[in-house]
Amino acid sequence: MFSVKNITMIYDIEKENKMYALGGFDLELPDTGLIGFIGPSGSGKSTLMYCLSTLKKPTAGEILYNGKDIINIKNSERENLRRKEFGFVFQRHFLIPYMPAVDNVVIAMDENNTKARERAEGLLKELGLCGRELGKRPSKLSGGQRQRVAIARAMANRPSVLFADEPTAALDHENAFSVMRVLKEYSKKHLVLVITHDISILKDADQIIEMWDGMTGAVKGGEGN
Amino acid sequence: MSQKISAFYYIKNNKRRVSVLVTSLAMFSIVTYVSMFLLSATSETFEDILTETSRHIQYIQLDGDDLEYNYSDKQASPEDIYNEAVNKKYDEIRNSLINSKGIEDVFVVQTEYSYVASLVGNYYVEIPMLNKTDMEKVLKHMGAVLDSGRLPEKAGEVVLDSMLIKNYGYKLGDGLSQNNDIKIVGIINCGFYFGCGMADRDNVVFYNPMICVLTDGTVRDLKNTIKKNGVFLENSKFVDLKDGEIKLQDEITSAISSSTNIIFAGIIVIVATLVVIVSISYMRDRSSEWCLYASIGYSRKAVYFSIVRELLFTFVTAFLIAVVVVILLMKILDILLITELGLQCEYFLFDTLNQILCVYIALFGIMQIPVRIEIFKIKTIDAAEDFM
Repeated sequence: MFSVKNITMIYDIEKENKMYALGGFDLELPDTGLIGFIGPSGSGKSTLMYCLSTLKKPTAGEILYNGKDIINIKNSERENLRRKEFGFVFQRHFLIPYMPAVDNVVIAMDENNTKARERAEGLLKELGLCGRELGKRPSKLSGGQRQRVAIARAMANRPSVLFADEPTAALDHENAFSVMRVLKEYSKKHLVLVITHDISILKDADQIIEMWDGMTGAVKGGEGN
Repeated sequence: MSQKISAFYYIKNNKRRVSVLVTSLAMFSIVTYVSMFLLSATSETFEDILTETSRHIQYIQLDGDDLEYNYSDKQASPEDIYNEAVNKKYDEIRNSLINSKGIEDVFVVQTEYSYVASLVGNYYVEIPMLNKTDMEKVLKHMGAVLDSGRLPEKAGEVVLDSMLIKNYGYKLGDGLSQNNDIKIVGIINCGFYFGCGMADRDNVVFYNPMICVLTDGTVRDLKNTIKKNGVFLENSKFVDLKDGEIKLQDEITSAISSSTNIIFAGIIVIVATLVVIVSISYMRDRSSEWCLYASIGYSRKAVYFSIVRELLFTFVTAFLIAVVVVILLMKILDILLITELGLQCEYFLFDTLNQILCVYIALFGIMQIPVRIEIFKIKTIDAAEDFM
């Protein structure tokens, strides 16, 4: 699905001390499965995910998605990819503070009608939110509930690729594993890329990619494999 | 992308904030329009007195220097000499005018006055006092219909239009505001601030004599009309349509115009300040939200048009609320104040409406500046670090 060649991301490119967030490496990712990215802070995990999801443009290199370059594409194509192909669970939940949980999911959908609303409610229920919680604003929800809403929003358009940047960071272990079960289930038919510091949540991962100083390191199967 | 960002997401979840902007705009429109409506009670009332009435009845206040006195009769008293001079000038004026275009009749009258108070300022209207026959001619000419009481039957009695009655608070049997000896015996309806009464024809010239000219509405400059007919009244005062128009412009319109400009400028400063405060708060809170929209696939254009729709909704709602409230307020003011005081006013103020709409458009335009700046700042979510 993704074919990454010599991807390089340099911050402060005009300064003398350039910072290489991604140091120029190749990577191939399958069409489906749960792929974990693990590594210390500043190793380039999030930058890689932002680049793969078109939110950031790498300094150099090539990213092919289903054989097509997604770096130098028109804005409308990029918007279409973000809309229909990719879903993103951000490091912080990034919910719209004034919208109820269900509207935070509907806003990411292709349509805004009763059917879309029902589907949003269904997704939230699948993720463990119920009843009055659906109508609550993010400030009235717990950290775990907010993260579930963010996951539901990412899955709203049934994206082919779901990017999750530290999706369990704000959750206790029980909730973390519950979220990972949902992501694992989703990965059976789609590609799910998860960034984490906590390797224990990647026990069901199909593949784990370690990252160090902007480079990919060891690639291995998940603990459960 | 098929879904638009609905303006109602923000509106329905931020009713308090939206209502601040809606209320500010609506209040601006309401205060502006109602202020102008109340000021129109002054301009319309005085316009009726100074110009509309003058289209039908005009006066010449004869000056002593324009009269020719005959001192040859040594037995005549000064009053008789004055009386004769006035009658002579009256005959001369009547003969010159009676066949002129637009002139229907000419009388010499004694003149009383009644006071008309508007919401701002006051004025006096002439009450011609004539003999019974001439009085009936004048009343007929002015289209007067007796509403209550009776027509004057003897000297010192008058009938007044219902607007004059309401304005001063007269009752039948009361004396005139400027001369308590003149009694009100009837109320007429003619649509003008007008009244008419009976005088002793023999004494008429001894107290404020005036030449009263009935016109068909086409005579504007009575002095010039008389001059063309060979009668020269250089010192006499003409209360004609031209004089009314000048007074209306100099004493009423320009004074009201200054007041309205001050009111309008004051209101705009308050509203503009409120709008700026609301806009700053609006932009500050929402730039991160717009970054999120960009990250989940909405274009800048889609975000921009969602903001435009929100603003349009706000402005249109404010305008509609203002229209409803203004109509209600005008109705209430009409019942409690305008009609009660016998004043006239204009309900559809085209210029004011235009000004209000121009301010709306200007504010809408000004608000585009910070919106456009923020739209161009939109990045993806990684730029929104301080977002909740």
